[in-house]
Formats: sequence, C-alpha cells, structure tokens
Amino acid sequence: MEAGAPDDPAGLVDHYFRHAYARLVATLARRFGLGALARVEDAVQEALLTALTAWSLRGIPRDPGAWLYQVAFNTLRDQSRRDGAWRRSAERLAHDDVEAPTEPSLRGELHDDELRMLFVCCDDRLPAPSQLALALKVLCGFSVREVALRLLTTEENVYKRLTRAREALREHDLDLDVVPDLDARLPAVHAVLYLLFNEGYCAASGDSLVRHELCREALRLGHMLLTHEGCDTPPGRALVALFHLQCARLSTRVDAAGELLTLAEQDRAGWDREEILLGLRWLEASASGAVFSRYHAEAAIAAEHALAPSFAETRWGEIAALYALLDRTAPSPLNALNRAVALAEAHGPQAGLNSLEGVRLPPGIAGYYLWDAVVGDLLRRAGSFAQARDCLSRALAGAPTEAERALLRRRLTSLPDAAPG
Amino acid sequence: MQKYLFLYRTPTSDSPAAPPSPEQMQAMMAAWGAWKAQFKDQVTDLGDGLKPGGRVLLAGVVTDGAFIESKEVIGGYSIITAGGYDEAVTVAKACPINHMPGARIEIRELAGL
Repeated sequence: MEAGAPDDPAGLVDHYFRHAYARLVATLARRFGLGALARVEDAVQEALLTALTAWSLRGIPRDPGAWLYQVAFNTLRDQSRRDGAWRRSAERLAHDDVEAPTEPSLRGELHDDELRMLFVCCDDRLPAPSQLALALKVLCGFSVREVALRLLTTEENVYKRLTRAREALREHDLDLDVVPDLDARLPAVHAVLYLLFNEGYCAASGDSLVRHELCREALRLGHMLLTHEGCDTPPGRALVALFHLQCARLSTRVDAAGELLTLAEQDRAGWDREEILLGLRWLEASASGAVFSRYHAEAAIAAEHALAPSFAETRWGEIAALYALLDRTAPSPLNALNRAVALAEAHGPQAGLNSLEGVRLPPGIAGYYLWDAVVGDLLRRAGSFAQARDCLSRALAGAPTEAERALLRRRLTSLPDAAPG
Repeated sequence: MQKYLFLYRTPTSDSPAAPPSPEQMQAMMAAWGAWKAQFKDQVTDLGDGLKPGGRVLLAGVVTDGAFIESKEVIGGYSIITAGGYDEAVTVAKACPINHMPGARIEIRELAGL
C-alpha cells in the first residue's frame, strides 16, 4: 500500500483498516496461539483505534502495517507477561526476539498467515454455521453487527456462532503452525468461499451494495488461495473464474428501484467487460489437469451467459448440456431445474417441463420457492395459466427476500385473469 | 489569547461501546484533515497520539499497563489557541473524534504563568 502524504490521511486505500485487521489478527494469532484469538482480536482493534487518533494527528507512518503490528504485539506481550495461564505464548515468545518483530511489513505479497487462518475457519471440526461467521469476522474484518447484517441474522446469533467457533478452536487445540494437508482440505475451503460468494450474490436483500462486499471478499480470498503454490489448483482457478464472471453482472441485477432483474431483463451493456475477461482467462487457466469440478461446470455456464450477445442468442443447448455435466459432479435437483430453463429457451417451455418429469425434490427442499417460481414461469409460458398461478403463489409465500417477492408479484399480475386450464 | 490542552480520551477494547467499523474509521481520518484545515489558526500544536500501555510510578514503585482495567485511555492530545473556553469548545465540538463511540475530549487551559 502506498501511504498518503502526512496531511492526507484519506489517501489510505479503500478498506485499509478492514484488511489490516485481518492480516494482523492472522499473524498475531499464529504467534500467540488460536486459544488467544479473542485477546488478539481485542488487541488489534485497540491498535487500530490508537492508529486512528495518532495518524489523524501526525500523519500516516511510513510502514502502517509494521506500526500497527508493533502496537498490538506490545499489548499482547504485556498481557501474557501478567497472565501466567498464557504459558504457551510465553514459551513461544521466549524464542523470539520480542523487541524486533520479524514481520516488519504486513503488506507482504505472501499472505501465509491469512491463508492458514482461512484453512482454520474452514475446518470441519468447527460447526458449519460458525465457519462462515468466523471467516467474516477474522478474515474479512467485519464487526459482529456487520456480520449479522450480511448473513441476514441477529447479532446475538452471530455472537453465539463465534463463541462456538472459539470453543471448538480450544477444544480441538487447532494450531496455525500446523500446516494443513492441503489436498484433503482444499475442497472444504472452496466450499466456504463458494458459500461466502453466494451469500452476497443470491439473496438480493434491501441493501445489495452491502452484500456485494461478500462477493468481493470471496474473490479476494480466492485469489489469496491461488497465490500459494500448493493451493493453486484447477478447481480453485475455476472457482475464481466463476466469481469474476458473476461479479461482471452484479451491478445490473437490480433496477433503479432496487427490484431484481432477470437475466433477460438485464442491460448487457452494463456488464463489466474487464471482469468477464478475467473470468475467461482464469477459466482457461483452470483447464489444465484431469480434474473437472463443479466450479468448472458453473464457470463454463457463467461464461456462456457472459459471451452471449443477447438473451435470445444465448447458446441454450450448450448450457443445458453443462447443467447435465454439473449434475454429474455435484448432483442436485436444482441442476435439473436450471437445465429445464435452458431447454425451454432452446426448444420451448414444454420441452423444459417435459425434462422435469420424474424429477423429485428430496423432502428437505420440497416446496423450495425457487422450484415453484421456475416451474410456474414455464407453465405460464406454456399457457397453463391456472397451474402457473398455483405455483407462483406458492413461490411468493416462500420467497425469502423482498426483491424476489416483487419479481414473483410481477409474474403473477402478468397472468391473464380468465385463465384456461 | 489562551492556550488549551485537548486530551482525547478514547475507549479501550474492553469498553462496552461498539468500536467503529473500518469504514467509519476510514471516513473519520478524512474528517480530521478537514478539521485541521478549518481551524488552522487555532490549532497551535497538533500534538500526537499515544500508544497503549506505558509505565506508572507510585511511590517509586513501577507498574506497567496500570490502566489496563480502565474503560478509556488518553489516546492523544493537541494544543489549541482560543479567546476563551467558548471558542475552545467550538473547536472541540467540530472535532471528528466525537464520532468515535465513547470518545471524549477534555479541555484544560494551560496555566501560562
């Protein structure tokens, strides 16, 4: 990071404090142990608050990362000296030259500690709901309130998830110094990043800009993964390709009134060409090796959409085939649903409906609103208005966000009143 | 004209006040620049920020981090020139540190004997 001139504190790059927080927490947690994670987070928070006043008055130091590190490190070292229960840290620190930290600059290209922290957050010994909350807190630097806002839950719930995460860290004595078995653990890391991205992408809630940050963070962490030799795998590249390609469409997914736009309604001129190019480049780079992951299939589908000059000119046959391929790597009834949509565009709504015959939703997601929404739309287009009305009404009742409900209401009002069966 | 010491008292991480978000911190740093420009005639010495920790001597006995239990620490100071407390308060009121939850400014006139 280029520090601003002393009189220009605003010259700090965007999100400096957020990312500095993540790096400092990861570096110091490695040094003081994950058992001290809460203390580390407090010390880093305090260092940032100290910086806020000091830098505002005196200007930004030449190496802001080193300055912050030193301040937080000293706080933790003083605490550990006072607190005998902190044996482990004390032992560790005894071997280090505490007066001169060996990590002078935290702007480094090698985000090794953050990467280790990412693996810890994705450890399956942590309860699944806690993984995402912990990643958002310590890797993305969101406060409890901000995490709650982004995961559409309460602060109390986030607090509980974080507490359970910290308990699991202690219970299983997880350690940032233990290098994880990368091959075995990468799929879990990919899955969490994928989840993180979709939290920001799928549910367009009232404040979509806030949630888009989740997409950006997933992309940042995905790239961080790829900078590490052992983590630079074809599925990881495909995942990053998928993120870029989806990010290209982020700003066109809602209209001026905040209503969700369908793919057909989106202004393709507004798609970010640079993101599309990056996505295509990473997709190409992901093609080496024998592994074909679900991320390859999904990125290929996203690429088809990104390259189509218009909705009508989309290669729907290709997309239907890719969904069939996706279903083989990651089986889900939703793949059949998406394939039906593509087939409907290629060969008419009835072809789509026919392809769904015999596909059954597992009990867990029966009544999943998306299923009703899509089938309802296909029925509407096939002229089966009464059935369409039933389906769309069910979808409306189950839709989780206002933007999605608005879209369904528009569909419902477009149905003719005297509906033939 | 008199000189006034501004002591910026900021919450520690133990404080119940919710810390500002990174975005708010970023915005506050920009606001400080505007404040300094607006009151450049009054701000005699911008002063400095203070790092956490420190040493306290009591009857010759040295302790470190003695104020670790407290909910706030002195986070920095400045020296302001003003015609009286009213003017000093005007300057303090505009200071962006007021936007930090739990932060206080203590204003003291220098004796200047």
